[in-house]
Amino acid sequence: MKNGLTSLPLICFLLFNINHSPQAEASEPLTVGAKAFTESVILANIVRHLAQDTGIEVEPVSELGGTRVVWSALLSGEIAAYPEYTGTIREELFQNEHLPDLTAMRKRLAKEGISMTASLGFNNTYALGVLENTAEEYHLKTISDLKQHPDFKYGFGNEFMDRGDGWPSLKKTYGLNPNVVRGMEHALAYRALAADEIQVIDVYSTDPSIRRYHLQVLHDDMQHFPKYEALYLYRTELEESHPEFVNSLHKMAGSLSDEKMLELNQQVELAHLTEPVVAETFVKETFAIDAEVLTDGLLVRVWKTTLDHLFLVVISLLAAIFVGIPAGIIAAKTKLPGQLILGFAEIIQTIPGLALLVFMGVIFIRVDLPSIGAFPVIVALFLYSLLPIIRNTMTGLKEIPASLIESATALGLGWKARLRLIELPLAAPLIIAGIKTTAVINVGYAALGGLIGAGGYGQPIMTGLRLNSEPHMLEGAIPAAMLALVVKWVFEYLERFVVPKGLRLD
Amino acid sequence: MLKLTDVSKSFGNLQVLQPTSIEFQTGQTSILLGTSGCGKSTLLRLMIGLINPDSGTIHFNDQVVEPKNIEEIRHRIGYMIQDGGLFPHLSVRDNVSLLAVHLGWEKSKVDQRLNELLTLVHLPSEALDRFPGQISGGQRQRVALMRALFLDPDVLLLDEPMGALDPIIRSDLQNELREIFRSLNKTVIVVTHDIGEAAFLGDSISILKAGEILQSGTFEDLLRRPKDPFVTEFINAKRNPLQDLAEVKR
Repeated sequence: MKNGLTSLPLICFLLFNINHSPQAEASEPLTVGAKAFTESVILANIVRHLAQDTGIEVEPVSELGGTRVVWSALLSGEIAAYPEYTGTIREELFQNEHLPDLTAMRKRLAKEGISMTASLGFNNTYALGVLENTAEEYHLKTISDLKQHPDFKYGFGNEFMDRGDGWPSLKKTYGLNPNVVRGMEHALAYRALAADEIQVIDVYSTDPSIRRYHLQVLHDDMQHFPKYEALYLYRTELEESHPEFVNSLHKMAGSLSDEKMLELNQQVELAHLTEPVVAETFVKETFAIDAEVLTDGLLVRVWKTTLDHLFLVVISLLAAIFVGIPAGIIAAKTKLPGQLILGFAEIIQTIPGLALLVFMGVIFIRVDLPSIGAFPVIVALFLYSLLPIIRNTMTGLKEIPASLIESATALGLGWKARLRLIELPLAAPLIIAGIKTTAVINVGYAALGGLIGAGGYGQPIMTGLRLNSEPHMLEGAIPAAMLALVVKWVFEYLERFVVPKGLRLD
Repeated sequence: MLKLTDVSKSFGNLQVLQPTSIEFQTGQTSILLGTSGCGKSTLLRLMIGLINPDSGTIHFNDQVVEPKNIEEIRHRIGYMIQDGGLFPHLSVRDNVSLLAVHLGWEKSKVDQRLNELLTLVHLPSEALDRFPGQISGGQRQRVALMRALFLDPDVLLLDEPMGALDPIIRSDLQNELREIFRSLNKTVIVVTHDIGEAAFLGDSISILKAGEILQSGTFEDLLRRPKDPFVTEFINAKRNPLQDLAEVKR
C-alpha cells in the first residue's frame, strides 16, 4: 500500500480486496504499535530492535494516536504488540470491571487473546503540574492546595478529561471546583501554560517537559492516581508462532527505572535525537546488542510522505467522484431520495475527523476490515468529499435554464442522451469546481493519517507536535501547502479539457 | 396533419386552455395570435409533448400523440423558441447536427445537410465553428431554424421566433422566413403577439383570449368579419406612427 501511485491501475482492485492478514501468520512481518507520545514510541522501537536481533522482520513502528485506536489494532491483529500501562488497562480498557491485582488483569486480558509482560520497571503516573513560579507565589505543594484558588484555569489533555481516574474523579476526591477547565491537545497545553493562559495541567511523571518548562509537580496527597507501570501487551498466539519475539518483550521486564525512562524521553525531546536512535543506544548499552538504524535523508522522507499522502488523496477523490456525481444527479432529479442523499452527506460533514476515524475503526474491526493505516483514512476522506461533489453536481444541473432543457427535450433526445450531451457538459464548470475544492481540502484533511499510521504529511506534523519541534512540523506543513497549490493548478489545467470550449469564452 | 380535439390544460387552479379543437392544414402557415398568458404557447407545447393535456387528444397524421411515441414524433417536428434555445457549450455545427449525429447519421450526409441549410438561411460557412455566445441575435435565430429543419420535419413550430430581435433585423428575418416557408411547403405554426407579423406570415390566423380560440380565418376575415369585439380591438391596437404624428400636430 505504501507505493500507491506506482500501482494506480490496481487501485480499485486494492480498495475492495484489502489484504488483511492477522499478524500471527508466520510469513508476514510483524508490526509494533505505539501511542503518539515519545515514551510509547521509544518503548516500541526498543522492541523492534530486540526482535530484529533475533532475526524477525519487524515493520517500522506504527504511531496510532490514542489508547482506543492502538488497543483496537491489537485486538484485530493489525499490530502484534504495544507498550501499555497498568493504570490504563484498569481505568480505561476495563473501566467498568473490577481488576484488583495483576493476576486479575492477566485473566481478563486472556479472554481477549492478549497477554502482558511483567512491569518494565518504572511508574509513569498522572500528576498535576504548575509553573515553579506559580507554585512559589501561591505556596502550592499538594493538589489539595489548589482548593484555595478556584480562579486558576485548568487545561487538560482530552484523554485525561474523561478517563476513569482523570478529571471527573480527581475533582471529587479533592473537592476542586475551578471556574475554567478546558480540554486540549496535550502538547499545546504546555505552551498555553508557559504563556500563563492556563495555570494547571496534567502531566506524566516521566515527562521531560517537567524540566523543560520548569514545572512543579503537585504531590498527590490523597493518593488519587493509581499506578501506571509500563509493560508490553501482545497477542497470545505469538507465543506459538513467534516465541523469539515474545522473548524479546519479556527480556525488557525490570530494565527501565523512572530515572532511565525520563532520561530517554529527554534525549528525544530536549536533545532532539530520534526515537529509533535513542532506542538503538539503549539496546546497545543494556543488552550489548548491535542494532542498526537506517534513517532516510530529508528529501527521501519528504518524497515518501508525499507518495503516501497523494495515495490517500487520489484514491479517496476518485471514489468520491465515482459515487458523488451519480448521487448529485439523483439529488437534482428526485425529491425524497435526493433529500436523503444530501442529508446523509451533510451529516457526515459535521462529524469531526478524529471522531469519524475512531467510530469507523470500531465498525471496521467488527466486519474484519483494517481499522488503522490507509484504508480508514481513505474511507473518511471519501465520505468528506461526497458533500461538495454531490452539492455542486446538483446545483450545476438545477441551474441550467429551463429553456435549454426544453429545447433538448423538444429535439427528441431521451433523458440519457440529454444528460450526457447537454446537462452534464453545461454543469461541468460547477462540478469540476466542486472536485477542485474537495481535492485541495483533502490535501489538508489527509494529515489525519498521522493519527492512525497511514503515513503522509500528518506523520511529521504529529511528531513535531509531540516533540514540540518546528522542523518536524514544517517537514509536513510546507509540502502539504505546496501540494495543495499544485493540486489547484492541476485542476485549473484539467478544466480546459473537461469544461466545453463554448463555456470558456471570455 | 396536426389535429387537436377537445384539448384542455390547467396549471393548479388556473385553466390556461379551455377545451379546444383545431386542425392545421398541410403546407399552410398558421398563426396563434394573442396577448401574453392567453394560452397560445401552451397550445404549442402541448403539440410537442412538453406538457400533457388534461383532456382531449392530439393527432399527428394518424397517430395519437402519447408519451410512448413522443420521441419519435418529435423527430418529425421542428421546434424553435424566442431566444433560439441554442446550447452554449456546443458550436453552431454541433448545435445544428446534434440530433442527426446522435441518431447515427454519416458525416458526409451531415455535412451535405449543413451546407443546404446554410444556403437556405443565408449564413456563411465560417459561422459553423462559432459558439452561440459569439454570434448576433439574428444569426442565433437562423441557427435555431437550421436546427429545427435539420431532419427535414413535416411540421415546424415556432414560439415567438423574433420576439428578441430589434425591428430592422426582425423585418429582414420575417421576409426570409416567409420565403423559406413557401419554398419548403411545410406545415408551420407560429406563435406571436405581433399582429403585423401575423398578417405578413400567416395563411390563417387564430386569435386566442383567456385560453380560448375566439376566431380562426385569414387576416381579411378577422378584419372584415370579426366574431368578437376583442378581435377588432386586438387588430386595431397597433400604433400607427404617422397617424400619431398627425394628431400631435393638430
